[in-house]
Amino acid sequence: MLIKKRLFLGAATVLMAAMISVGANAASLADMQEAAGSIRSISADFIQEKHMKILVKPLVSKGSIRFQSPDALRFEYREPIKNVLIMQGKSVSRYIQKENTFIRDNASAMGAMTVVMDEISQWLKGDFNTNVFDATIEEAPEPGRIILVPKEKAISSFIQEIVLVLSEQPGVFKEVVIRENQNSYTRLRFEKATLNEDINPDVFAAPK
Amino acid sequence: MRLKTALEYLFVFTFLISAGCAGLPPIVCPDNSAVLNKQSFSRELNTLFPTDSFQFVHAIELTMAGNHSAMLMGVVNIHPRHRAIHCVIMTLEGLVLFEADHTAEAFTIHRAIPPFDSQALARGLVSDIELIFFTPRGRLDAWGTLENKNTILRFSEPDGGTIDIVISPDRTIWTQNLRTGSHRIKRWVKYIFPKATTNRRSPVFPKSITLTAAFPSRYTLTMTLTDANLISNTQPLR
Repeated sequence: MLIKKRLFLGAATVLMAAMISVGANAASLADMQEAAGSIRSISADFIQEKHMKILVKPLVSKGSIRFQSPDALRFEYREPIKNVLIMQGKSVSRYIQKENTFIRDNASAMGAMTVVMDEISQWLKGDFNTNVFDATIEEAPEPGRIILVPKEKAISSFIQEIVLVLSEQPGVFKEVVIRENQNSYTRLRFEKATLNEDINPDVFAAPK
Repeated sequence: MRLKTALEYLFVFTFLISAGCAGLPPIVCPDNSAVLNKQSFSRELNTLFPTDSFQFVHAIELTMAGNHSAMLMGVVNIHPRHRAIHCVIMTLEGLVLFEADHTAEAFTIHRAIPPFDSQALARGLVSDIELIFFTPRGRLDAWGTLENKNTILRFSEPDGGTIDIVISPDRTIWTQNLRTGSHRIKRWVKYIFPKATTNRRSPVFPKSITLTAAFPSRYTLTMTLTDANLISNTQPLR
């Protein structure tokens, strides 16, 4: 189970990072925790770039994210592989588009995503110092960033650190960098972010 | 859809089992003419196996017995002149699960997260990539056409096995069948090329590749090409 948990931690951390909403001008983790409480929903587009030493050019994926407090999330990749990850409460499902129809991914390890839900819910409350990560704030360069370092060696062997770069817009992250090692990292840049707008509940249902 | 996948899976293995029992398919029209000389073969094979170093990015669907499947991303750098491979398998979110390189001198695993941490699985994976992208090591023994009018090139492998490369008349479907010395089919690879276009200046690569492994483990890799790039540095990366 631990192995499966590790396998999906990468996915989970991306989700966690994308979901967090905190005040950009917050000076401490406690301030951020307080600011996170005022967020009802988030909608944003993202561009994901995978950088590796061996790649001729970065692998680029594009998609969107929708989050509705307290625990509904849709993380959708539009290209190059159309797939949707949906969390509703403790339930997590992935759907992959094949021949214009979304098929539920029946990979047995998907069940492991539920294990990290508790972790995610803590992040949503602005609680970064969880069982898995130690969090520190760096105020420079402005508007600041949060550095998350795994507590366990088992996890740090494949994720060195996660950097959450705050944006000028309160409540939104500009980008997230997941560094696996010196030769490999993933950068997610968020665009067109809107906060606290109503989201149709169907968005969090199984895609058709 | 699941039923469809299961039926396709069943069909492929029924085909493999029956093909395995049937021995080598007969070449009904052996073609020993001088027209189809070594140069012609090279040209044919270069369609399937690039001679330059390339990087391919694929969406990979791994299907195992019991209809278990997983969708992954794969990056493979091939260096045909050195028969060298550098491959990476990652989740759709970009987390690297497996990274290895294989040259004539060494096989190095840089990263392996379960279930890719098995040495046997890793070697099998690299061997499958070699089969898909590199010309057979063996010598060309026979060629001609099959009963269904497909062109066939038959190679004898150094270990006693055979590799048949079969080309459909419209040249959009190529298959590669790897058999053991006892003619038991071990790997079946199907390449689907885009329909021919007038612009043939740039290389054309298969838009999808399906590898079906019959034994020792049964699985299917369905690879859909998302990007291909020439590697300017032709030395294998280390």
